Amino acid sequence: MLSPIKVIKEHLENLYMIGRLARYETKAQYSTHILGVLWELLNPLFQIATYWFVFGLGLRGGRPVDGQIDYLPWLVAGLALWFFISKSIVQGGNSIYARINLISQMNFPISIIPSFVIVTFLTEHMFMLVIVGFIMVSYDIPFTIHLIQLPYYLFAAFCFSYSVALLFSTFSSIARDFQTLLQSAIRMLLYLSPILWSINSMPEYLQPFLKLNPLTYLINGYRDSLFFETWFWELPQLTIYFWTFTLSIYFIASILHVKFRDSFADYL
Amino acid sequence: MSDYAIEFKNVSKYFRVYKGTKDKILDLISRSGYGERFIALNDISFQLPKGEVLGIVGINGSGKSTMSNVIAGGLKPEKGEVIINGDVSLVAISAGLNTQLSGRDNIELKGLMMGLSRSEIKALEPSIIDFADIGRFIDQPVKTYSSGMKSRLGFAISVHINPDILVIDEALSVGDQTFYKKCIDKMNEFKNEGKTIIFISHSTAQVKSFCTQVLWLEFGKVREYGPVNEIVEHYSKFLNDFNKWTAQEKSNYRKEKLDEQYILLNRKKAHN
Repeated sequence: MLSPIKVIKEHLENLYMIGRLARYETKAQYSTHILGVLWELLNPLFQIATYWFVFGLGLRGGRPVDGQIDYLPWLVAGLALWFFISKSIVQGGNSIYARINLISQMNFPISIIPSFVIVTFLTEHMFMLVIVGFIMVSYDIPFTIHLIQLPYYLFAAFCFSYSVALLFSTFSSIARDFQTLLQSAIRMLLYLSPILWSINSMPEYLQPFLKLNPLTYLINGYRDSLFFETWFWELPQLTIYFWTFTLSIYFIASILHVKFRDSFADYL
Repeated sequence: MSDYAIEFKNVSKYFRVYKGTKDKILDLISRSGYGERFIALNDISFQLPKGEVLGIVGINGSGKSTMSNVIAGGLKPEKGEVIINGDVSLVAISAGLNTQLSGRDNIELKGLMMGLSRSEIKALEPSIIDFADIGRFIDQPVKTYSSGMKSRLGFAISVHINPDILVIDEALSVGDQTFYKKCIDKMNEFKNEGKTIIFISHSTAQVKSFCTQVLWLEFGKVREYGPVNEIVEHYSKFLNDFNKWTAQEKSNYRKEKLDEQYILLNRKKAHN
């Protein structure tokens, strides 16, 4: 069977298991914390406060973005998705290596490991969306029908994160260097993607190149849905580009995954 | 459907051994592989009929645990064919428990990973807790457990999820006599239900009292395979002789045999 199909099939057969394993993953992570799952809300709040302080008040002096929208709601919408993607990629990329001892003792569909790790970050993301909602209300920003495409962009973000995580989970099981590389790359990507700054504030000649970053499509997609009232089919070129990019990574990742997964335990 | 629970056909399992990063990189990019391989299992063939209790014996480093992981499906062999008829459940000392979670959560987690539904797990939970006999600790995180408690819980979960084939990898060595007795009773129950058990142990007495067949591994190869009395007798005799050797003789023997387990892949091919 073709590897890309095989990986999808393993997911469809184990949907229930992915959900339950994700729940236990969260439970295990916060079992030693007094505040428990509340940290899923507190952690991002602290980070948002810091970014807003540094970039919103410090560097921008509270000016609105592109003269259209206040910085805080705009920032939080972007950060919400960024937190989800960055955590998914970094921890998803490490997920198989971290569990290799466990899986070497049983016949387990390894390809679902990055997935259930990514699913655990959905809880935090839902909290983040609630925060975004509160901020929008307090800034008198109206909710529009475009809100309904948030699930589309979230699904797109999931597919993208999973593909990258699957690719790196193979690499970093073979050589740990890749995990370190991934962490550095993600740290840089926060500043190189239009999360803290707007793409329109960049020089005209740079903008097409910045749009080649698939994160641009996702982050801007969230903001289009919440503030700018743009549908994703109004951006056909970017949409086609994003999915071509993501599917290519997925194909390479699933082929390598299936090729190497039988020997993951050997590389320990 | 075959009458055999387990069939190994010329199974070999290699582990990669690298002298450095260069070997590792060359091994990844070359088609035929590069560097050294340690042969953990070397051309192993045997057939185990359903309902038998197979003891696997051998001195340290003979490949017993590799064998149990291959049977459990976690490790895949490089050569040959492994045919397993039925669900396998492995009990090892490192029982694969999540130490941050409570014993109760681990029951569900392990059950899930073995493919049980939530209601099936809930139905089994009381008898697992009863068997593990760890009292109120069941709702405490596993990291607070003693090693005996961990292995009891691991064993209780593995036997209760009702596998067709149960693999026990030295897991009973940490329990006390009472628990050992309980496990043996449970395994006898298994045996009477016609299920297959693989029992890996250093204790020839345990193997003799419990197994029907014995596979004697030595440095990755099958030295002997057959009915329990005959093989245990040979193995005990070997152990007796072996223990009479001086430390130097033992170490020389081991070294010589271990050297045979390494193979060097063709270096010329690696550059193509």
